[in-house]
Amino acid sequence: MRIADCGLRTLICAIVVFAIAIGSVAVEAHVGSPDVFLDGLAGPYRLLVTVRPPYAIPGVADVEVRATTGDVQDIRIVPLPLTGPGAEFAPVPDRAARSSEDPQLFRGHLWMMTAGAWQVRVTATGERGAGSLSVPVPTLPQSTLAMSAALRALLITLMLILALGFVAIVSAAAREASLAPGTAPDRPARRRGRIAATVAACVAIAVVLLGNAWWSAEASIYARYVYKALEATTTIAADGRLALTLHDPGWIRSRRLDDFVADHDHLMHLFVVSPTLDRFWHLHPAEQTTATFEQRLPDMPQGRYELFADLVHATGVSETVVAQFDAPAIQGTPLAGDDSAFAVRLKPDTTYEGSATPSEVVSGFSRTNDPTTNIVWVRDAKPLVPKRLTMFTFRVDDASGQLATDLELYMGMPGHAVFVRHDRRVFAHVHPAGSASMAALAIGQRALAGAASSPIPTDRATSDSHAHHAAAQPATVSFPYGFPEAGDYRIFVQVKRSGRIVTGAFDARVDRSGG
Amino acid sequence: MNSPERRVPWYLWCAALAVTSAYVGGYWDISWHRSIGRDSFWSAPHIAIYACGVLAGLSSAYLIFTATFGNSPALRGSSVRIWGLSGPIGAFISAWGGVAMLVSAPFDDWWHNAYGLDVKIISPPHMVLATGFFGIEFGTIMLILAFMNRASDRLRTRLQWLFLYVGGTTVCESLLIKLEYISRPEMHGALFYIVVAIGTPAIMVALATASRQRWACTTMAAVYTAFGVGFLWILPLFAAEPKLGPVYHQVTHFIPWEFPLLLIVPALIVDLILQRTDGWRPILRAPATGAAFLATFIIVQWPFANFLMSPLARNRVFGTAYFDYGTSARSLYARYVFLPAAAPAQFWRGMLIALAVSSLMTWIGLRAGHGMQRVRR
Repeated sequence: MRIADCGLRTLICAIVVFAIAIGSVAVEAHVGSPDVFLDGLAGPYRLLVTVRPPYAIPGVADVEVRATTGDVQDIRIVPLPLTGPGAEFAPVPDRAARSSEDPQLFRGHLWMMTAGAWQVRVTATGERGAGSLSVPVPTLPQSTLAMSAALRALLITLMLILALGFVAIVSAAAREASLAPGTAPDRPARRRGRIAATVAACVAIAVVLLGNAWWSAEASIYARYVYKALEATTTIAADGRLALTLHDPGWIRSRRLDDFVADHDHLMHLFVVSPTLDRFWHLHPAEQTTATFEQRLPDMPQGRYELFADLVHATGVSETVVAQFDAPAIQGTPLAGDDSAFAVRLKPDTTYEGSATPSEVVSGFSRTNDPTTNIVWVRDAKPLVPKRLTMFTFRVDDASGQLATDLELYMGMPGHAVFVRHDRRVFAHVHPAGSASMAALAIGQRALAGAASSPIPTDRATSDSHAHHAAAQPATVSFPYGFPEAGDYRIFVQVKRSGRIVTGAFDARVDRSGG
Repeated sequence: MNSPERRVPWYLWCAALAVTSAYVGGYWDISWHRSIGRDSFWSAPHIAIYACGVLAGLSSAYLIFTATFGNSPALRGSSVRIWGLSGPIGAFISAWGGVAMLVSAPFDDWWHNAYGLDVKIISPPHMVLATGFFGIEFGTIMLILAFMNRASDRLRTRLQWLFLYVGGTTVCESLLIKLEYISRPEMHGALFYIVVAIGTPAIMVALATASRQRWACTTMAAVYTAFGVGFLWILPLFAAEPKLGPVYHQVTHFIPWEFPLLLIVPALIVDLILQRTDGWRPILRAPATGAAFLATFIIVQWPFANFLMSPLARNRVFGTAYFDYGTSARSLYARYVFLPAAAPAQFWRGMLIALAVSSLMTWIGLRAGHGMQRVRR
């Protein structure tokens, strides 16, 4: 029942209805999906890059570069900060090793030394010359490593040996070291040795206790360095205005709440989903004051919702804020601009192409409720497995089943994809260029000397290339991404046809075994 | 041909080489991290550090096994017994140091995985490693000391020089682990003088007293100065490029540490005082010597720090134009600026602490030195 229908609207409008939720902790830019995937151009070469940041910083990132053509002879990779003075000078690049099984695959490892916005600069050399590509990589310390029982046992054993050895040496030194050669220790000497052993044992125990306290203090210092996502408080006014107030729970000092930059046109991309993922909104709240964003909500049924808010700092670090809120039935404001909505209509009109089971597919449409569009997930029979870079390709058909010819850029891009695991502990907002934010990509690209290469293939577009809005886009859009973990996921795919935003939804099961 | 009593045994040379290798490796490793950044298990400085363990282990194992299972009554008679084994106390201490170094390896590896690569010297696993170093260092000192205290005059003189050389490397090592607190911008702060006073007078006075050599402190300080100047002048001759970011300074060669502290002046004064106060009670001798050490050090190091901050020092001799790749151009260090001065009360409180520490360390050194004079095994 909508508020307007209940006859109490006047009264209720006088009261601000709060639905407050404290944001739960997100674990990095995106949620639960720290790996960075990029489809970009290094000069003339199109590369698919995967960077797996380390969970402890400083630590080693794994880098995989797949050349889409066979003429790449050499790949060099180097880490450097995305912005600031450290981005000016690069260390000596490492040569990525060519895979023996796949000559177009190159692998390497890089040290990422501080928390924040980094980039991996990839330089490809081949028959068509050389070109470079910047891959933004947020390095956010995730956790500390627990010590295994075996290592703990080993270290305790060695520590005991050291402690007992220390006591024995001190005792022997007090007992015998001063004796003339060939003299046996007498009773006073033996007593001296026993006293020294007692004192040494006390010293050893004190050193172990102090060392343990120091260790705990160091671990505590590192724990403060572990990434803590921004938190959010939500309030919903009776007129359907959602206010989102950000809080910094305390992390590195360089994080600010007043330095957000537009990422493909908007400071915030807000995704609201219902717990069953059958409803989905992609909204763009405006910043009212520092750290406070506001959005006029569209019509929403009463219920509990979860939100994921994507933000990009001026440093290039992107963060996803997670929160929940309980909403009353809202008769809201019609969607406008780039805002869009989706509700599942269990209609098997979107199908897999290939051997997958059509019944696993759901599909729906945006606010246009467009019955004239069918989005098809073009995939092969290979099972989906975690941590493998996959090109998720979707074809947009019109009502007659022909390739749609009226696709436009949606916020500067051919499409947007959102990957959400059904437990909502994994969330990623991905573009055809990859999982990095477009703002961070632009920063990295500007830093590349010469600017002869583009991070995005020429048939794709950057966020500021709105001049191409009018040009027809290909009917196929691909997103490079790799699921971080096994589970059941829903993929929301958004494209724009003749001014209408069309959303399709797909279900994907990711098995650890790949079976 | 010299009789065995007139020669310095090979295992003493071996032990002295071990501590040299440890210090050279340690200094080189720090320079490596300031110039190249990334290393491997088999980097050259690491091999020099491992060589310390190998050489010390070789000499210790030889002495312990020979004394325990061999046919040398003289060696067995000048041994101590621990857990059924015999050997000089120094050999056991060195072996203990080697085990501590081994313990630090899996601990440090886990530490890196758990908390990330530690980019600082003073961390728990590094201190276990440093304890191992100092175990080998102290073991070598005790080994030489036992031989020296039993030796004839001629051999004794030769062993004294070897002893003081090893003592000099001990001074070097003790200052190496404190580099983070004794850099140029710190030199006008009380903490700098407290940190230098922790350990340094104790080591110098103890070894000087144990050696009974008139110019022992000066000799050890000269060893420290020679190593420091040698590294400062030699390392930049070798090419190096950073392999880690962020890179704030372009580096094309190895970056050494700074010009050595002017310890040689207070060391000379301490030698003179020790020569003239032999009959004093330690309770008076320690504060007098400790105060003289600190005062002389302040008198020379304070203005020398001003000089190091000046453009006159930005050359190959004094080396203040060298910056590691990770030094931000905005840092105090790169701008040749001292740390902000503390409030006067805080500064003088710190200086009083430095005085107390210096006196206490000198007292410890005197007591330890007298005890070491009696070591025979």
